[in-house]
This record gives sequence, C-alpha cells and structure tokens, in this order.
Amino acid sequence: MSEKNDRLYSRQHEWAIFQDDGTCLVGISDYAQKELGNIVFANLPEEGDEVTADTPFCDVESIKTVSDVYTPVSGKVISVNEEVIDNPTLINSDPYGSWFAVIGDITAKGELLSAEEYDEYIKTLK
Amino acid sequence: MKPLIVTGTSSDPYHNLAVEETLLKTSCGRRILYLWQNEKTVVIGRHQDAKAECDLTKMEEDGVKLSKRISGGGAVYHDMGNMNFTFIAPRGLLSVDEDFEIISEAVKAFGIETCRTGNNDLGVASTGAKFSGSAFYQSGPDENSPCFHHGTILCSCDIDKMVQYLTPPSNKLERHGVQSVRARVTNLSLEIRDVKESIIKEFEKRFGEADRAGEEAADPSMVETAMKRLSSQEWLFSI
Repeated sequence: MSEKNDRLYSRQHEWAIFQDDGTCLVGISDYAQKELGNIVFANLPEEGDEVTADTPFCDVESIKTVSDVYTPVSGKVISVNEEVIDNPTLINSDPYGSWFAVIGDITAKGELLSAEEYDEYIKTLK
Repeated sequence: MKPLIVTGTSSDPYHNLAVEETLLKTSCGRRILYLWQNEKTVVIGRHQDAKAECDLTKMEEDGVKLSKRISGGGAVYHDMGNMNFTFIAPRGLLSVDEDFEIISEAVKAFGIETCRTGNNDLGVASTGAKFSGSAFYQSGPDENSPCFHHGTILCSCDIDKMVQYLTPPSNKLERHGVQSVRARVTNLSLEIRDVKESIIKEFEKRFGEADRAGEEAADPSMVETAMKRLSSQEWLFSI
C-alpha cells in the first residue's frame, strides 16, 4: 500500500491532513497523479476563496488533460503552495508532500476514507 | 440509453463552447457527440496567456475573435473551413484511441490514410502533416466524472491567416502558462458536410444508432450563464 496513514482520502482522490490548529492541508493522491500523467500547470485557488466540500476548487493540467480538483472540506483558503505553482512536476514526484492549499474556518467535511479504505477503493477501479 | 448526436448551427465561439460545457454537465452518463464550427476565432488552452500566444492587434483588424476553452493544450485557429468534434462520456467509458479510430475511419472513407502525430494529433499518413489537434477536460479523476475529448479537423481552413494570427508580435513579454507546440498543418481538402456525415456514420457504427438533436438540446439558461463567463475579459485574459 502506497497510501500514507497520516491522512484521510476522498473518492475524488484528494488527501486531507487535519492539523492541530484546526486547519486542513489538501493535495492529490499518488493514484491521481499517475492517472493524470506529467503535470504541466497547477491552477491553485486564491487565498481567501470560500470553498465547499466535494466541489471543484482548483484544477491541474497534464499532458493528457485538464482535471478539476475537489476540496474535501468546506472553509476558507488560508494559503496556497507557491512551490507547486512554480514547479508543478512536484505533484508527480512527491504527491504526498505537495500540498495544494491550507483550508481553515472549516464548516463541513465530505466523506473521507482511511488509507486502508482508500487503498481498497482504488483496487476496485480499473 | 442511446447515444446522442448534437449538430450545431451557431458559429459563435462563446456560444458553442457554452453548449459543449452544458452538454458535458448534463450528460448524466450518456455518450454524446457534438459537431460544431466557429467563425474566425483563435482558441487558446485553459492555462495560456493570450498575449504570448497570438497577435491580438492583427486579429482585431481582421475581426477575429479570441476565446479560451476549458481544456488544456495550445492555441489553434478556427474558421468555417474547420470542423470541431467533441466526444463526451463518463471518464471510465471515454477512450481516446477509440475516438481517433472513428475520425480516422471517417477520413479513410475518402481515401485518406491517417497517422497519430505529436502528443494528441492526427496527421495525413503520406506527409505526416497534422490536420487534427485534440484537447481534453475531465470534471474529476473519478470513473463516473463526465469528461470530453474535443478537436479540430482542417478541411479548407485559411492556413496563411492561421500562421499570422498564431504568431505573437515579437516582444519581451515574460511568458506565463502553458506554451503552444508548433506543428506543420494541412487541410484535408474535403467538404465539411461530407466529413460530418462520415463521422456520424462511424460513430453510430461503433456505439449504435443515436438520437439526433440541435444545439437547443443544451439547457438554454445554463448555456447563457456559461457564455457570459467564457466571453468575459476576466476569463480570456487570466491564466
């Protein structure tokens, strides 16, 4: 299992780490980056954006496609990862280190799976 | 559910892109083929900088519109000598290879053999020159997420003009976003309506008899909302 136990996962292939200060770090899973192929652009949200759980909040472009990325929580974007904007290939090389955004003022969460449950889920996909 | 074939009659790029987006959003698992044409328009990819990709001054002089699609990739030029196709399906059902086979078979009916070129292009086998470029959008990485594969087919497009519009004035602008890849292009020198019929035939051969509709099949209020966004300066000039 390549998934990390320190975080939760959505069926839309995002990961979420809930931090002690009440904020949440969001990125995409290893499965998602593999499906996308080489990522050439990360269109991350703006600080201050209000986001709603299980709806698109940013998108990435790979050599294959543009794909919307969903937020697993509702809240407000506190900060975005400038390193990922400057070097989107980090998402491919280090998906679990390349967080997209920190979301705070969390008001709702979507359905999230443990690493083990997520691993089972992706096995059901072709 | 039978597949659906939508044939557009509008040549307004903002309207057509709005129809495409609306068909995608309301597809509910249905397979859709949308065939459409734009009047003189440069269409840039979602993350491209218009100023770095085309000659906006020359375009304005000649009445060429600028539009930006929601899919990735580089800048292309459309006129009424070009035809666009959009294959819409849930991600788990959409196969780019299958779509390319449909286009290739449709063109082969006129005695033209094709080949895959570049990242996502089709070329004429004898010369390798590109006549069709494709781009992709998925509303999510999930198997059920609706997604589309759309592309151009050059039949009798004004390629001299294309080159002029897609050459940005030499400048020292810092380049942002995704850059276009240049390719040698060619027209198929076929009638648009013949190619259209041939594609429909190949599509039905593969996916079964389809229902037919005009662009009014796309929810008009959703089209209007999407059109406002897609024609806004904010959309066109943000990266």
